[in-house]
Amino acid sequence: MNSFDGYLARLQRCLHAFSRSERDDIMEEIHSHVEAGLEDAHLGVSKGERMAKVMSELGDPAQMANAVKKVYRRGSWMDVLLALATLIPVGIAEVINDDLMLLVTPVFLAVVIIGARRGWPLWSWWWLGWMIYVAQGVTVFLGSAAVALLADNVFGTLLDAVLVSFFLVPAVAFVGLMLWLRGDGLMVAFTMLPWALESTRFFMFESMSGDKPSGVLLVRAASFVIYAGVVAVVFLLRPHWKRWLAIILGALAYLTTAMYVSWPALTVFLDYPGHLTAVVLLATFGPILGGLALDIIRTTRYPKRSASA
Amino acid sequence: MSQLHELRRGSTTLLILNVLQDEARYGYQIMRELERRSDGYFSMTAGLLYPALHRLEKDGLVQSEWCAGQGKRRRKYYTITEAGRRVLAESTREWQTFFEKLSAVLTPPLNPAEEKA
Repeated sequence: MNSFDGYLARLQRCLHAFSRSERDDIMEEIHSHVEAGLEDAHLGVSKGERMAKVMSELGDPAQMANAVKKVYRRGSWMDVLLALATLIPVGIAEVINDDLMLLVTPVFLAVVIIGARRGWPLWSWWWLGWMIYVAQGVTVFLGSAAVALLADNVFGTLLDAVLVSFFLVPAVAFVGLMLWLRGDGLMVAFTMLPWALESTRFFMFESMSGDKPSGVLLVRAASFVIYAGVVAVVFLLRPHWKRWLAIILGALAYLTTAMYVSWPALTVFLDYPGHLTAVVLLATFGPILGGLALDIIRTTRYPKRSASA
Repeated sequence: MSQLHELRRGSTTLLILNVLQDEARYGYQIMRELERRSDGYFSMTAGLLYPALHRLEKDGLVQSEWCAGQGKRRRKYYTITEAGRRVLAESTREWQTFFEKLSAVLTPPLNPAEEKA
């Protein structure tokens, strides 16, 4: 990777607060700037000389990205507050009644539409992350008849697998949508965090019959604090690895708390609590590790684009 | 030195709008044109120029359009808007007044003998 590819890869990573199209627009402008410099004979006799001069004029990619972010007010405290506003309806629904989430859905949907019309500002991604429950709700609703049929015949033993797939299929589709819209591994993992953590709650608590373990509300309160911390770090902090660390540690912290609270009940109610734990680990860390892998690939290899669009 | 630096930064809008008042240009051209007109005094880095261009566009003072080059990567051309021209005229007046007054203050006053002569 030459110095210019390295510059573009770093700039791309620093522009995580922008949507894919906005980021591509900025990247292409810089690419075009360098190309113009390489053609400019006034900058030097050899191509190497001209490249060195152009690179010195570009400056630090992080500074450039921060200056552009300031112009569009991306990654500000206001973004953090607007993103965290999702936690208020979720928290209220959680304390009063889970079914209230159905009433919250139109609110989420309306905000996501506003976000889409405004070119997907940073805060709207967190709201979008919660929208996966709509997709899951629809899938579960449509598939409930099939589940009922399966439960009454020889395939009844597959019921758990079918239920799990109702959660995983929309999630996989959602990750695909995120990648298409954003093309940014960090933002995909970040957006999927509510899903990953809420899935933990579902598998740990809702799949158990009988009394729920005590301390559920404590886990919920902890999850909200963790959410808030991760959002603030991802929106406001640099460098990039700190954002990844926040996402991974946030998920680990929540999972540890949930496991601590629910493990005694799991061993009482389930024959194979280890299987459930494996599913939870996959659901929580699958999107995160996938996003991390994508981010590493994109950081080390900036995709070459066609010379003329 | 830092005061001069701040003064230069403060004049970024005026400089860019001025370069764009005759014709549409892309980022690299703006940078080189500024250098040429000022004999290299105003050498703006890309890290300063592009965020400034985005800010001007967001404020409606310039507008941009991607134009495909012949066999080359397409380029983003910036054009000054009517609002941009108004701001340019106003800023030019303000800066001219500023420099006239500054010059008047900095020019040493004539001594009484010279004044009589």
